[in-house]
Amino acid sequence: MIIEKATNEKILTTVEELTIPQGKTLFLLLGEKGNYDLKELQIALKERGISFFGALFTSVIYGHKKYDDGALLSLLDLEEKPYVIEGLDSDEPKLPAVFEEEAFVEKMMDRTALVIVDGLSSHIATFLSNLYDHFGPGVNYIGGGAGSLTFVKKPCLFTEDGIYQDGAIVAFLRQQINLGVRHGWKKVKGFLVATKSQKNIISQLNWQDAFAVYRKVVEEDAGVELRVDNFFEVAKGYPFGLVKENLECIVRDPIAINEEGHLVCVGEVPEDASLDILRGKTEELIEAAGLAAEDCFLEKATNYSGCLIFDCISRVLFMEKDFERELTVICKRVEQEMPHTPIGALTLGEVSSYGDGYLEFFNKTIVVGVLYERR
Amino acid sequence: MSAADNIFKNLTVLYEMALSIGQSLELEKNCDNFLKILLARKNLSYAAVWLREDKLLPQGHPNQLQLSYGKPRYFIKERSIKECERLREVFQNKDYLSITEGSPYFQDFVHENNIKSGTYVIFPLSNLGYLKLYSVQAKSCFFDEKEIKQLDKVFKKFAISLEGCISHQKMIKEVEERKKAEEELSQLNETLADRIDKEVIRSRQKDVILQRNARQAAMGEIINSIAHQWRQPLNSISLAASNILIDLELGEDEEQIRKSCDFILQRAEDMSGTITDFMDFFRHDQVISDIDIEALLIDIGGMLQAQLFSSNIKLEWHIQEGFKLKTYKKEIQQVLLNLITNAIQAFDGLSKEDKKISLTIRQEGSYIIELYDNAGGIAEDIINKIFDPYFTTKEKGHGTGLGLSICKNIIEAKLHGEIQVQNIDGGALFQIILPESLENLND
Ligand SMILES: Nc1ncnc2c1ncn2[C@@H]1O[C@H](COP(=O)(O)OP(=O)(O)O)[C@@H](O)[C@H]1O
Ligand SMILES: [Mg+2]
Repeated sequence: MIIEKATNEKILTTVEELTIPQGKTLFLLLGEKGNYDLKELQIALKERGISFFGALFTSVIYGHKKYDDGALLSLLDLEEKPYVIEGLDSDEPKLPAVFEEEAFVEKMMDRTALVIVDGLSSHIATFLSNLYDHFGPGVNYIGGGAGSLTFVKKPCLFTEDGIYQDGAIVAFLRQQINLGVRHGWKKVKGFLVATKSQKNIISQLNWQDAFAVYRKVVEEDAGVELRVDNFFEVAKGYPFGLVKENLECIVRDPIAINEEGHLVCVGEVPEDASLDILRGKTEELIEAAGLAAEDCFLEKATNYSGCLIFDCISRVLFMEKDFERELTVICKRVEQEMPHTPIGALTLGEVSSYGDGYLEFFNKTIVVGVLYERR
Repeated sequence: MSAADNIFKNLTVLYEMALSIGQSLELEKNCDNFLKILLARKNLSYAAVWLREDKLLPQGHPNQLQLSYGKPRYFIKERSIKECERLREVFQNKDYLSITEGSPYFQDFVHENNIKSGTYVIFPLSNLGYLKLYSVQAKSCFFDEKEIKQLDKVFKKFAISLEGCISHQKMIKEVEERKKAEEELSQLNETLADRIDKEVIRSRQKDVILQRNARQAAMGEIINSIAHQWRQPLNSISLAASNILIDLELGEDEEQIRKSCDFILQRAEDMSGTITDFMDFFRHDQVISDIDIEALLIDIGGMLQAQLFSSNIKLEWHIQEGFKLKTYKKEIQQVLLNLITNAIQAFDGLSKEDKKISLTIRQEGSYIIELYDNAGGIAEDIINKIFDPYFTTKEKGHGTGLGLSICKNIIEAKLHGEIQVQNIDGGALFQIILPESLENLND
């Protein structure tokens, strides 16, 4: 259910009217342009004795529309209360002790892990790698980065126990999921190696100054001058691709130039990694969204029970008014299989795995998942 | 993509991998740096490094493989396996081995959790061991020939870097040991007695662990006895209770009902008595006392009554009237309970008449306690081992193998005596020799 122009009051009134069946958990996705006080909202919901968790996103998705100021309420079947992991700003985020238990891992087998991270934390990759270390391909992962498009850090995650910044929420859904992960960005220039990089900052490409190399490629292709002041505007059309053999590459989004003149990306770029510079065309991106939805139905299931979408906010910034066409394409495909309206959020980075492989933090990518009941 | 493009792409990925090798001298970190990238770039599900034990440890076995690294840990199950002999041969004329779910040998390679299908590809790491890669996909090999050729070089480099890590580890150990030796040397001023004390403490700590396990084991045995002991009274309680219900329904007189209630109360009291008796065993005695062995045996006989009765075993003793043993009561009690329980268990599955367990005590300076059973004795080839901790011939769940080891420990360490065993007359004879006086022996 979507509430437009959302406020604490509106959300609480709606929740009052809602009858939440036993065993269901309320999942609340808030578009950042709404008017909330997260702490008060969390306290008020807790007072009402409901099971809930949620996050503040740049925008939320309901069907084929996005709502920057909307609040999306949905009910989930969770296996356990959601787990909160704190300390994603340090290099050893500590996972809950139960994740170590064989019986717990066994119990979660084949379920869906909904993973919401604070998208502005510095050690998301480490966290995901630790998470994958415990559950491997035993569960399927879907989720994305919460947080504000202003790139100002603030608490953006909440559960019954409090509100959190630099953290993550992991909720195990009872259902299984089929996933589609696509982006549709194509290579304009390969032959690049991040010869010097640290975390999300690239300082050298092919042993030369990273910005200089990048600028040359972009200026040639776009025919505009790339400067520090128009960097974001132009660079959003030219992300990097981390080469992954035999699969679509993983996109890394350059968003700024720092004081030293190095490229700052969303998500980590390992040193010595092989990179491409990519370019997007609206039609190709939309086509990719359709393929992501298509991928969800490669293996048909029965008993579908919902559809989740985590779509990168940068796709909105790039496609602008055409963006909702992307959602429409997905909805059309999903409609053919099930009556449920897709829900989701626009994210700062997306979480999923390519099939049975490594768990990754994506950028500029769309992750679609269709939930179905276990047999 | 053009052919040149492709080659370049391959090269850059190899470049990244090659550079990720040997960035750390720590074995685990080195594996992690490299294999994480291999997993991510090739979209594999699992990577593991198995190294031969003798490469890692001075007394290690060359045919035993140890898991030195496995990512994600989700898959990790076994950590030490015997190297399949054929494997070494295979790699004499092959650079890698790929094995897929359909293969009849697939199961022999599964040493991980949660793997029922998919494909393993195994590469030798020079003579150190193996790199084992796994993908959920059931392709005959998830690398093509060209990739194998490329990776082969990378893996060779990886193996060399592992050798570096291992010798680094050894060196660190050596340095530590030398340091320790030096420290010890400089501490030689400390009296020799001091060091002996330390050694004693260390071996005591070992004992403590052993004893803790032993306590648990004994507890298990005792709970078992309690269960036996309770089965019968529980039955009669539930019978009496249903009688009460019937009486109530039929409107029988109060007297009848009261009788049944009294009966239940009496049984319940007996049962709680059992627990108190058994719990008594878990305390240690600090003081030596004069123990009436006969009374003690009556107690033990009572506790084990259900088991003795159901197997039709007679527990008898030959002790001079009024005989007293000066020692720690709880300790001797626990020893006898263990020995008698073993004897009872030795009759398991044995059908014969005249089953008996008998105990005698005499004094010839020292005290000599003898416990004899006619349950067939102990096979000669294991008789030397039965006092070893964890040695048991019983099925899992029935024996812990700790009973006799704890007896021996109590007798030697606390009671300053000896225990021996021999086969005699179609049974086992346990002989305990205790000093005449314990005074001045324990502090
Ligand atoms: N009275 C006995 N007769 C025959 N075998 C015995 C007797 N007592 C002990 N044993 C043997 O010694 C083994 C070790 O005994 P113990 O240390 O008490 O361990 P456990 O009873 O748990 O197996 C027993 O498994 C049994 O094989
Ligand atoms: Mg025993």
